[in-house]
Amino acid sequence: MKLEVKDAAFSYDEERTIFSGLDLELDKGQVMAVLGPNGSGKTTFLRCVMGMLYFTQGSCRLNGQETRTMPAREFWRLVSYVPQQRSAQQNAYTVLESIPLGRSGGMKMFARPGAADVEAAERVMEELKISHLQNRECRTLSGGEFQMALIGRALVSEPQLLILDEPESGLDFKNQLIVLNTIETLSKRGIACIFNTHYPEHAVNNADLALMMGREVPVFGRAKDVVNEENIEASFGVKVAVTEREREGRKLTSVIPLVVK
Amino acid sequence: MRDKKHENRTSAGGFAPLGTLLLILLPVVTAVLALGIGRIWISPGEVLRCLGKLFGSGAEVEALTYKTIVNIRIPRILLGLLCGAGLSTAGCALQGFFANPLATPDTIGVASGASFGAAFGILIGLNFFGIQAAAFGCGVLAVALTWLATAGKNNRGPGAMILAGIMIGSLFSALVSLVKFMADTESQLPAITYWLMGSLNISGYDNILAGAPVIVTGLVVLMLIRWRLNLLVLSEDELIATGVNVKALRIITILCAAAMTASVVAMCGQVGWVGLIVPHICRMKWGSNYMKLVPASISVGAAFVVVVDTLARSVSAAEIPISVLTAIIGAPFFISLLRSSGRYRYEA
Repeated sequence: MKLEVKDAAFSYDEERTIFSGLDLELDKGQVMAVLGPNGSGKTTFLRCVMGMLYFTQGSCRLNGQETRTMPAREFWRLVSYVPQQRSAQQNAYTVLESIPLGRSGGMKMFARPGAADVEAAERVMEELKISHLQNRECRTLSGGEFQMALIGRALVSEPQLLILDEPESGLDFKNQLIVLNTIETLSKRGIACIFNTHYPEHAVNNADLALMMGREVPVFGRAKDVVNEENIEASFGVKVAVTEREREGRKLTSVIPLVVK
Repeated sequence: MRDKKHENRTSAGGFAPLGTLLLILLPVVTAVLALGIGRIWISPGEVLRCLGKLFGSGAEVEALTYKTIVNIRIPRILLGLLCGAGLSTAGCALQGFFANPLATPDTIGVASGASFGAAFGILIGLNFFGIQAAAFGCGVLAVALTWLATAGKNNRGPGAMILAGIMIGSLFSALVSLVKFMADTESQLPAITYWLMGSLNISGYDNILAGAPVIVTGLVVLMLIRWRLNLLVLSEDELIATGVNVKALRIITILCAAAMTASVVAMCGQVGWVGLIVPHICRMKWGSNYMKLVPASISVGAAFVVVVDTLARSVSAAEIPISVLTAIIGAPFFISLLRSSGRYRYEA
């Protein structure tokens, strides 16, 4: 798996350019965080990568193939999308009914999930430790549980690239950590992940690469290099203190907001 | 209530064999009982002997009884089964299509369009087949207009299509009024009015044969894609991200629903409320999974219309229009079910 975006730009019209000159590369098993203030184009960027919107300029290639000309079916065989838990349809299906829906793209129009699909769903639920939720209706789940069920539905198609829209937003500490650890585990299995986030700390501690929006030309690079005091101040307009400490055998970075510029 | 423990084995969420059997038996038993009810009372045993004779057994039955069953009641009950199954399944598919619990076959303008076609056919003096063809054609035309009104480069989503459908529907309703206004008050106006109220009182098998293939095809296709109908309820981005051919799925769904509704209206006029009431009854009973919802709607819809029509033709000497009864029976039944099922949340 290799995702390459070159000199990409997006603008709604001539006056409103959301971003331009965006370059990035993502390889197998890498995790990329997309940061930026509200309205800076984080979601727009994800939607452009997924072909729900189009970059107005530049190219976006998946495994060397321009995504714009890739048949939807082929694209979604490699890529899965986890919507934001708050905007996803919290419907009356049980988790076990809902997860196999993620495999529908690879199935023929008249096909229904068979034994292999059920097994895949059970395997995914086990991996995500949500097997106990299988008979609960999605609308009765808590935010954290529902987010994991959504990740399950995305994983069941065995993607190479997982795109998550603010997967830890609206969740408590513990559930945030569960989601972030899940992303880490998946990346170790070779699945590349892109996630949008409002937390610079999650970007620096949990991602290899970071894309910081909020300026006309977004900054892209190693997460540890991108998430620093100057870049955050320039993108978010907030003065912050970035400090490092070691706990539990891990170097962790914390970002403390100080004052609005 | 749903047995959660037994459900896990089939993650697709369909009915277990026993449930399937009961769903098949419901309309069959209803139909056999309804065959005996009417101006001439015929016992279920006698009905079965008639059916046996029809299919070649040497059973002895009275000639009048046999004629009543075979020539009058069977076609009518077959029509009732078809209409009920068609309308309720169309309604349940459209509720998924629009992710809206209020969607009915009329939401996309098809019922009004078909009514206009029929009224216009009566006005210009077409024969029965001509009226059926006009009704079917105008019904499909109304859906096409609704679709075109929202189609184009910008994806306006199902919400816009509901609005367009209601507009097209009211346009055709206005045209129906115009036709009524122009119609001859002695002969045409009553014919149009009765026709619009709906009746399964059509003569013979050949009239059913015109509409049956459309309805049966629609039912079969929706049965085949019923697992996929679950996808339509997802939000737009989630739906695209499954990688399925969203447009094809939508077109197939709406085409089946529209064609079935148009041919029901073409054969027996407006039979109101079935497309709204029956799918919701099924949702309350069996949940929102289309694996269960489609077969349940077929079965319950077919039985419901046969029951209502049997009452329509037997409670009084003159036949009561079926739309009157679907509402009079359906509404209280629906409300009492709604109140007794606590977990139901009116969602599509």
